[in-house]
Amino acid sequence: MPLSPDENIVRAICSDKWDGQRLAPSLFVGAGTSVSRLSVASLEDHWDIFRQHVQRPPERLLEMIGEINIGRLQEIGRAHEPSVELSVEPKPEDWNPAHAEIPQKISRGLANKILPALIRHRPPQI
Amino acid sequence: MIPCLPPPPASAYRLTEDLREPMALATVHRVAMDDLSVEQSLLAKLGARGWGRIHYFRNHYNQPWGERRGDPLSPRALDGLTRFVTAATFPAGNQPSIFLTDHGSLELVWEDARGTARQAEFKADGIEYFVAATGEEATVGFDRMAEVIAKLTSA
Repeated sequence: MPLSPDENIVRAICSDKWDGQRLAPSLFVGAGTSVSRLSVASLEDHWDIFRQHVQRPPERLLEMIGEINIGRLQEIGRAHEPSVELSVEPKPEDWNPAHAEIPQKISRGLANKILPALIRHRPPQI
Repeated sequence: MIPCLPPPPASAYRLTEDLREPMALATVHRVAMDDLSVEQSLLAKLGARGWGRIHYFRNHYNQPWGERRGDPLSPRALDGLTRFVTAATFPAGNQPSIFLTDHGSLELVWEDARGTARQAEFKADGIEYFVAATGEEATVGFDRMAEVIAKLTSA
């Protein structure tokens, strides 16, 4: 069952996808892009979840969290040429009950249009 | 001038200090001149950030990584990226960014003189490229490297 366009989703951005200057288009290129739901876990909780599970090896650092509204994501897909009907499906996992996936294959051109729409959250000061 | 390469990954076999010959401790690991010229070319074209990231991926992403067990860096992808960068010319003051994909490929991203994206993903078996100004996106084999360089570095 696809999630509502009203929901916002987040994606962990680690040091392999951010070099301090640019974001990697491969964050969204391909099928089965892994995302997470803010309606299930808060942004603060996502920092804790991601820190515990994505920083492997320890040299892989969680640099940012990218956020986008599902409806906005779908608008970008429809406006792209060729048009793509994007959806987000819930896929809870043991380590993250908020986990979800974008099942459709996203081309590099489309990924380049999604990246600028991401709201970038920097790590909270501890 | 690069005097030596970064140390090997932590997963590599290491001889404990008390078993080493004193002479071995005093020596510096020198690289072959061919390797040195390639490293110097990568450093000149990618800058310290890009060059350092290649070694970051080589040293720390040589086993499955991340929460989804991403693929280790592909040696063929690294070889493809190295051949591309040493032969290509990038706009002055606009050094490319390098990223590792979840499939062990290397992604090279920069902007042309008009500020539009040019990208290449070096996979184990070929190159996926993208020219934002024309929307051209395709995947080709390494045998078409010269053609991809011409497309991505043309004005």
